[in-house]
Amino acid sequence: MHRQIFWTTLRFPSLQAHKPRRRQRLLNGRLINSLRQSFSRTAQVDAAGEITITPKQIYILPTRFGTGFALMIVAMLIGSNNYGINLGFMLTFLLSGMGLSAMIQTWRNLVHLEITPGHAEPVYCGEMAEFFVYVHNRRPDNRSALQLKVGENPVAFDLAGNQGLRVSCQIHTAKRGLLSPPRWTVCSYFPLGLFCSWAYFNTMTKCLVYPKPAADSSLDALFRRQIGDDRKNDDNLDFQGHRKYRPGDAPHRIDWKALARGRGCLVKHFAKNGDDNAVWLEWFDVMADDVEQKLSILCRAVIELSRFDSPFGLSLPGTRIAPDCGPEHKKTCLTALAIFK
Amino acid sequence: MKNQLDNVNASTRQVVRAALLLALIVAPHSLNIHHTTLLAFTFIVAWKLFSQWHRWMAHRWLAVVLAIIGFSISIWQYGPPIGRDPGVSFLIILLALKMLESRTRRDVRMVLLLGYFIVITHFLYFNGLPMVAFLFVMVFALTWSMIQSGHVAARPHIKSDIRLAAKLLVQAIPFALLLFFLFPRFSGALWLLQSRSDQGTTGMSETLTMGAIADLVESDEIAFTATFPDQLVPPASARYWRGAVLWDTDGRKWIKGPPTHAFNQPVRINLINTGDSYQHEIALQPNDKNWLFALDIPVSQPPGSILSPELYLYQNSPSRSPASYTITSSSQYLNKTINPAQRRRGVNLAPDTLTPRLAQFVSTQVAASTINQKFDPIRYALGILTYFNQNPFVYSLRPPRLLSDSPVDEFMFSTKTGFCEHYASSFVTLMRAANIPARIVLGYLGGEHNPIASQIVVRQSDAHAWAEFWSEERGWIRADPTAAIAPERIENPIDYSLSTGSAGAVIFDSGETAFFGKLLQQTRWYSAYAAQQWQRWFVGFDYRRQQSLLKNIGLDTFNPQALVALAFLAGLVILTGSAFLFYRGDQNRQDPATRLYARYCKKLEKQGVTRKQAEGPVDFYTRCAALFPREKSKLQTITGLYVRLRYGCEQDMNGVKQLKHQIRALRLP
Repeated sequence: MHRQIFWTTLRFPSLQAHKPRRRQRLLNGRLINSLRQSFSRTAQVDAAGEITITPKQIYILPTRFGTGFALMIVAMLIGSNNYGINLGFMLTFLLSGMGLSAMIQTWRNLVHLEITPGHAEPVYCGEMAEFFVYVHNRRPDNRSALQLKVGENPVAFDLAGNQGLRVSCQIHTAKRGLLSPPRWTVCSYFPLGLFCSWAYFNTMTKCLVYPKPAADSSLDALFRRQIGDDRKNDDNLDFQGHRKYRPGDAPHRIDWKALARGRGCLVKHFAKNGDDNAVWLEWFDVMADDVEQKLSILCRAVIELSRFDSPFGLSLPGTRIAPDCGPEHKKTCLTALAIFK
Repeated sequence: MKNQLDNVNASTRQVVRAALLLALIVAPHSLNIHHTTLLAFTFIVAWKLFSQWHRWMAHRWLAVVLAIIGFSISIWQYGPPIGRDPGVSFLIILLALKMLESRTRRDVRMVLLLGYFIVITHFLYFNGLPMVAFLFVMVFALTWSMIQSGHVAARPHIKSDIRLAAKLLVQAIPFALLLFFLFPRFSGALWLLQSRSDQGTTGMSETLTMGAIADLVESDEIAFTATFPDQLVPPASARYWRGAVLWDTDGRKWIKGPPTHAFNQPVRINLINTGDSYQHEIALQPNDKNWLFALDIPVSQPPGSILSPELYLYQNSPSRSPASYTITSSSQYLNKTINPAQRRRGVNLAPDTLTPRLAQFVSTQVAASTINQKFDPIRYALGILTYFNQNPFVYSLRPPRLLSDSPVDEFMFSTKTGFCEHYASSFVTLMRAANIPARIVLGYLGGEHNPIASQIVVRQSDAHAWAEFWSEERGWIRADPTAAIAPERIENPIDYSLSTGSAGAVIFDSGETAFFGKLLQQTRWYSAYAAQQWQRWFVGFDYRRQQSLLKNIGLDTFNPQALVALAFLAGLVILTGSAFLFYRGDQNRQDPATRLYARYCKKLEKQGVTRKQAEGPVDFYTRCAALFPREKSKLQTITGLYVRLRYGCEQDMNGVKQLKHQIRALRLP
């Protein structure tokens, strides 16, 4: 909103017609950036990585209940005047004074509140992305019933004096990629609910959203030619040797004879016939038309292969990840899928 | 933006608290509002509490049925909700129904808001200090409950909210006082209202009927209080408070009659003040009459009042709310204000009044007061007063009825028993029979003197009637025939001996209890003083008082709009000022860890190591540790503690203590 006003005011005809380049330069210049910062009422992360709500960034308006309160005061004033009740005037003014000091209190609930953006764990598309912030109250008195909102689900919490709190907000994810949350809102209605004070702030935190894993059944599109279901069709694979048992290994893969001979818990390691002993997840092998669907299937494949801890490589147009296994590898692959363009 | 806490279901505790609080607030209305309304209120609230207890939710149709029943009770008793009592009754039913259907926190808050409105309706009936104190506590409790319902938790901390509610109210008080004194009072209502006469205000009647039983005399209610700021209080014998003058009579009933002076002509006053004049301020209780009382003859006039040709004050509209005004009066004077109409009407008598024996009595008296062919009205009046004194006339509040055609004759010669009305009207009749212009004055006599407040409290039981007659030499002369009766014949223990004592005071006379007697009297005086100040500055702060206050502070030239704007702006300044005074403390009151760390930095500064502007605590530690390798472990502990306290999430009072201890124990070479 503020940004829009700012742009329109700068759209001078002379600048537009004759010197577009200079205008562009000006707009991207340091001066303009700092101006934009000072015009914008949205709190930003400072150099120390913290957000502080300054007095200028706080909006405050009466709520519907507050409007009702004001109407009641007007009715009281008229009644006091008509019936000539002086004590009625006194109560009327006492209540209006109280309403105004409640307004100051509502404003104070937000002013100089410190917010440190936290991280956000990657999620699969369709799940709720959870964003964390640390909210600090540097004052000895309480800030009660603060409400934090980003996306759809607001969170309410109390903050005691000199206390910090980790608050998380969940956002529904609809698209893979890097999700930057929309503008955050922190608001307060406390103490009387007559006024609502609120402030906007932006965290630089982004959440990585992996593609939505395809259903198990659609793996056939990929696995029919490649690895099939290796739990049933071990015959198609060559025995490669033994390796140590790792948690999650399928029981039927364990070399029970070796165990009986006292050689420890070993697992028979199989691989596909051929030159390479690792699975290659190839973009072009995926039998799907849609890019997103292909990514979904690959995502499911990565999850499943990581579950059985078999080494695999991922090959996407423009990206090639060498075969490996383990959680780090899984993360690398999923990230590649998430940010695939 | 929507408050997500609004739609949260209110906890049972919140609902019960709101219901009990509202019941407490409604309770004093049991003195004013019909009991059926209150019964309906109690029933609905009890129902709500019961259903809340058992976690029922009232069905919609039940609420509708109860609403219909409740409102029909209100309308059946009072008619449509217009006016005071019907309005309050309607409001109480409305409150009960809102309470019945309240479920969420928003509903509870609405109920509490209605509670504030119920509080204001009490001021239609009460204005005493104890009631105001009670209502203030109720406002506080309402605010506190409202704060409690705004928390996230269903059972929030109670104490901190009490503190917050007190903070809000205390901040509002200077704002409220400023607006109270500066907000313009209008002399009339913004639109016409039904009169408050349904209230039945006690007060003096504007007519006087011989033989009608007076119940007024027994009322102990305060009529008005007069405060004498100069400590100059009139002596007991001079405390005649003039109210109205009656001219016309039909032999039994005395009325004011038409005004004796054309409205548009100025009253030519011929008054010479021959003694002290008393400046005083009257705080008048509403009496539904137009008159404004003053001590004897007023020589100054409060704004908005009218001076009649009979030298009493009145106003155009009946007084329906407490008022106060300042006035100067004279108690020794020559009042020669008279006009032809007054001369003519001052001798009128009803045709049948003069019975033969009354005419005989008059002519005897006239003959007795005629010396050298010259009739002396003053001697004649004294003769009549002497007659009252020396014949067996009795003062009684329960006189026999006078049923004959000439009540004066019956009173003078047969019953000889009566109170001020009888004596005053008989005296005036006798004066007029001798062709001397005379009139009846209604007002109050005496009053209780409170030396601490320098005030006189006049009660309804002090109501009195006396007479005035005309003498060419000395003008209008007051004559009080009631005072002429022999004191031993006063039947009732009501004090008419013009002393300062009043009926109802407890008298301790033994030596041991004299102290308590004095104490009791002092307490009574002080409480009367408090009540008077309260009445003067708050209850009776009306247009007139405001004008005089504004004049004193030099704001009388402002028009009402400017005054409102000024009051509001000044109020805002005061409010924000007081808010900042309240909160200035916590700007200085830093986080304890920061404060302790600053002390630590100072210690190091003494050793020549200064922390740089943007140097983090850990960097600072590394630098210091290199300089003081022997204290390295201590510095590390302090820095670690500080970082944990300052940047950690938990508030840790133990850690603060430890940090304090560590910093104190730090000894640098």
